[in-house]
Amino acid sequence: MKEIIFPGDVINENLKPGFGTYKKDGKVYSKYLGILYKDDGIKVIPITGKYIPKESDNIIGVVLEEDNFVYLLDINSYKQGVLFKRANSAKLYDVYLMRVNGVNEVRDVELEVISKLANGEAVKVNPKKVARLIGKNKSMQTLIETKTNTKIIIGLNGIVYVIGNNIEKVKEIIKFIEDYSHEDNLTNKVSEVLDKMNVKK
Amino acid sequence: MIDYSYDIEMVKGRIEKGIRTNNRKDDEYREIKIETGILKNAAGSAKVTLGKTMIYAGTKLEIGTPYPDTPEEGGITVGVELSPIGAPEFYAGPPSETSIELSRVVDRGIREAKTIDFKKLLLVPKEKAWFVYVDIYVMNHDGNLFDACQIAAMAALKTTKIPKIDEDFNQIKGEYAGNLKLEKLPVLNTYSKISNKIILDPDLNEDYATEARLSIAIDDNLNICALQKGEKGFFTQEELKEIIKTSKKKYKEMRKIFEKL
Amino acid sequence: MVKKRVDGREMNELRPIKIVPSVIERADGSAYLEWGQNKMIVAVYGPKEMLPKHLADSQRGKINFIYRMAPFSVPERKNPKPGRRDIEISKVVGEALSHAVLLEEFPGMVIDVYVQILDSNAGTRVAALTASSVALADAGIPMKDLVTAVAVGKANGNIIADLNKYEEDAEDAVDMAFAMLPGSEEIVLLQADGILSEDEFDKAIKIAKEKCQEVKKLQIEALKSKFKALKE
Repeated sequence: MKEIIFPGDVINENLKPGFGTYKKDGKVYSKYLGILYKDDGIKVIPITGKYIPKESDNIIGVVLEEDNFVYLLDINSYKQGVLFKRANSAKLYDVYLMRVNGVNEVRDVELEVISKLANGEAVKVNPKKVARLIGKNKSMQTLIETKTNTKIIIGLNGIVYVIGNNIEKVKEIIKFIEDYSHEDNLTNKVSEVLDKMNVKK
Repeated sequence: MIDYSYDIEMVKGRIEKGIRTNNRKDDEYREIKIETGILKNAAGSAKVTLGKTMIYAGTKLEIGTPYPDTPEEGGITVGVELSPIGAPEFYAGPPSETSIELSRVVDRGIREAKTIDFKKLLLVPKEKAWFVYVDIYVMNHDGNLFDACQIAAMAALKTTKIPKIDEDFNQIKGEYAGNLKLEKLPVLNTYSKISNKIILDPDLNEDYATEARLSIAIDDNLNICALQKGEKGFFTQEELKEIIKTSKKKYKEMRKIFEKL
Repeated sequence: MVKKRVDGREMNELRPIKIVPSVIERADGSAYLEWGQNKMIVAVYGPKEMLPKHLADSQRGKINFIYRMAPFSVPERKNPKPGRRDIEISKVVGEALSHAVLLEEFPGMVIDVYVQILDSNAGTRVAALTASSVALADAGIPMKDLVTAVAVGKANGNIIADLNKYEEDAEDAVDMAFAMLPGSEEIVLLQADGILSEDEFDKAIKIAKEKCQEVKKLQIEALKSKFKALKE
């Protein structure tokens, strides 16, 4: 089990304080309900929360509104993503894989379309669990794709696009990973669950 | 993980193929759970979940003056509040037209069936009678607020205790004199028309894809006691007949939910 | 002989408290809380863009805290429209939370916190604050610390913790709502009505701080329950 930590908890490590921590009077504290990571520094990753946009992230967005100048996309963040009509042509409900080119202090996001996604279904995942869904060197993602014969495009913002014949199974396994992301040896456990499922070829 | 069915066209496509979440049939309700008697200050209370839609309802009884045109009767007022807790699109403030329609349809289904005999609420002719207030709170919106609210209201009413009063008609706190009697057990069924298919108990994604909506209340004698069509689409007479047939068929099964309380 | 209270409690004993996080699926964070007879649900939506834009603070985010009581939550039916008490509570509790939440991380944004009281018997505002803290953590909102709250006061000459309605209505009753960040003991909510000597006040604060640490343990347990254990 990874170490669970709560807002306001003191972190007694002589490592450089990183994301999810704050300093006060020489001590380091956790900002979140989350998991404490100690590598070459201290990090607290919250277990919930919206996507915090970061430059160079690849994310997936869905066109939900438009006005005269822009398309507004749901990107699972504090604000909607924006694609300018002068540079893009899109329809309501189009799904795009995009690159975050810039973020300002008020979390407005500059987006660039990489590709349009089609013939599949989207699910929204807790953005904090995306790393677990991808796995080290894409190990978890590849495991799921191989065992369910699907292609999974994972947006770092928690919107995941699934193409293939076993979309319902993929949704089930994604939920499993979300619920038990704090467990050790998760890849093996997921492999077991996938084997038990009746997967269409 | 949330099934992100933002795409109404995709939902319509699935409904056309007869696919509903959890392999639900077109005339099947999601799981209904009811807890009653959970709030002590309320005269009657219920928490209802219809799938993931969550409703809390509570009743309060107050002594009031009968209306001039019904001098020997008490009455009932039903209100639905779309609590800002229940969905990101709900906001704090004066009732929206959605919450008003909900309030009035749920009220109609209960009132027109003559669920409560208002004459039995009389205390002093022309002067004093019991008035029942049912307040319904939508705490999580996952579709079909109409039926969920009606079930919560009925559950709260069925388990409502009448406060004890002294000779001056003041309520004696914490003491009760008997239960509120329900003469009838009306059931409200709400249907969505999507791509020319009619489905019962729309979940949230089906709610968004609804072209036309029909709520129908059926009473113990299998009579229609209230009807409401909503949304901008239309129904044919054949579709209405089908709906009435399904509702009558479902009445006995649905009524059992109230009988158990 | 130590006198017990009307409901059998010791002088410093809290009523039973139950906290369940993540109860409202549509919300970004939520909690259900029972405290004695009190029952409530809190939902958090945000951080999100604050509209209308002219109300937003370009330097830091804002908390929009709304406390409401259902008509059936009190002995005599209450009008669902917010009264002056509801608005005052919304203000002071929102201010208390504002100190704990790291609002500098959300310039121009708002975090909506809604509390719906379903059943009540004294101490709803401290219960609401305690539940809101859990709901904010549930939503992944960065905070300096949780906020813990408790009501202490005086009834029949004794300084007691967590008055119930009967005690609140006593003649010499003093009811003090108190909240602090449990780590630093920074006091973020303080309201009192009634006559207290300075000694009585000191004693009340001491008890309040102790009880807040007890409440914190329950908040932690509730948040821990979000981590489901895999059954082998």
